Amino acid sequence: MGHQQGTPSPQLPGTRGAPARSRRGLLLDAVAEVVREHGYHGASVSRIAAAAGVSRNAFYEHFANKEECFLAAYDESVEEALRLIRAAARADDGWERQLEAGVAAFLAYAASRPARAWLCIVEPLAAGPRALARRDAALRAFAAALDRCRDGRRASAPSLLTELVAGGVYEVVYRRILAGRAASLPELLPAVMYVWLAPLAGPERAAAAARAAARRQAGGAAGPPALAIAATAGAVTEQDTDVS
Amino acid sequence: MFPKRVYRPDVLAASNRTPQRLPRGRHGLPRRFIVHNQRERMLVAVAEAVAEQGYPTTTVADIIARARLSRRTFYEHFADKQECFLAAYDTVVEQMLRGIRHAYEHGGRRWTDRVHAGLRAFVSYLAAEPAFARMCIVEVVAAGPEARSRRDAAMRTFIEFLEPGREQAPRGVVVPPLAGEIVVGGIYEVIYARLLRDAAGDLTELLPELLYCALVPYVGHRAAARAVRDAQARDAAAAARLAADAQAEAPTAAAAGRDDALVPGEEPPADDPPAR
Repeated sequence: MGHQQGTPSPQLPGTRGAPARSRRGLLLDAVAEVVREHGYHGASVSRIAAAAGVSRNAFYEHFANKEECFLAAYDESVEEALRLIRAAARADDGWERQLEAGVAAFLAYAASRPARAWLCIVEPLAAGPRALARRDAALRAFAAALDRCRDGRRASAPSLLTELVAGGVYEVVYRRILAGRAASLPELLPAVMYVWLAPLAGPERAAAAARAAARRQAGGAAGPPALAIAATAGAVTEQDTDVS
Repeated sequence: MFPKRVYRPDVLAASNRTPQRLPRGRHGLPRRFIVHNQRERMLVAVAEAVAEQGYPTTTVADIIARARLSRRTFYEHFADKQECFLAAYDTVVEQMLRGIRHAYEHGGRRWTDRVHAGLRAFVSYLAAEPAFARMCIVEVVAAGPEARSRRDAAMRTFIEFLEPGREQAPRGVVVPPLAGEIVVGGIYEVIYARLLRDAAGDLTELLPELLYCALVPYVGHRAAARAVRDAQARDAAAAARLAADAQAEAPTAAAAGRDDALVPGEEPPADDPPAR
């Protein structure tokens, strides 16, 4: 292992002088690539270490086992996504535009980091109870974020509505990622807007908001935050301080 | 509230000919699941095993131990665990969908009534058959790509039931085609979460809220809330009629079967969405 410690880590593109991705970071990227290719069950420590270009011993310096590495990658990705979503939603005014910006940021993140999206959305279902608990927590956080975008409307709607819409969006994203269509995720934005707004503000207003969101997306005027996210999401781990 | 078991699924045939339910465990299969041959014994066994211990840790040895069949017999029917699982999944989902489709098509003139009937058949089935529910909703996502594509096909069938709702939308409103996928996906997720907590029995109680969520993107809040209230009233009336008929015809049988047909003493949920 000695010779490897002397080897400089490869500089990732777009880091612009930021410190190179640590060996731990390389392992987190590697586990995402490996589970996408082989599934959680087919992903071995050897494969993950090889994909990261480090030895098995180096792997075990950072993680006790495959599950720990998987969960660390999961947590890092979710933090990254949440940071982007919060930044995007903060930048826009009004609850509808905040919803639009936040959802757009989420979809842009998943589209731009397909391996991480696969790890977070698809693989937890096969990765044991701790991963499932994290998935559950992420869904709850998403539902809570949706609930903040309702302007106090329709308190009489069943409480299940939020859980169901959050779960439904998750499911639609899951199906796209599973089908290898992560790049198309941003197209979901208008439908997500519609489904959340229809009960709260009525189908007419929901349809108008969905049209407006689609127009902003198509016109490239998807709001500066969403654009910026699409452009930077790929390199965000390396410069995360800029975003928050 | 709702009759707990409105739709009695006709699982692997002959179910309706077996009037009594024998006691069963949490994940046990109803004895109505009549097993005709070795193959079906293995389908039952894989469903039970997977429901109890999860797909990844279930082995062929677990399946044959439950089915009380030899390994050799297993391999005469199936190439491996996955093939056996898929055969069981297909059998159960086909029958479940047949029941849902029947309920939907005969659910009434209005689309909202048909959605109610189909949804009620769905949750009643799942609540009555927790092992099958676990297999079809939870374990299927852990059983490999082929299983996932079967799940996908089942969900597409549900989406078709919602498709006519796009014509129910207010004038000038184009409901995005993806709305149905989000709603069906959301229903799956809600059920998935309950099944993970072993709360299959609660599913029928969710019916009013699930119905609201399924209808509201198409018809809006007021019409969805009204449809839920109408549906609840109809279900309550039907349940009362059923109970009265049963009592009149066979007092002892009705007394024995009462808690099977109704949730005793339950009122409609207080959070029934008001019209405004």
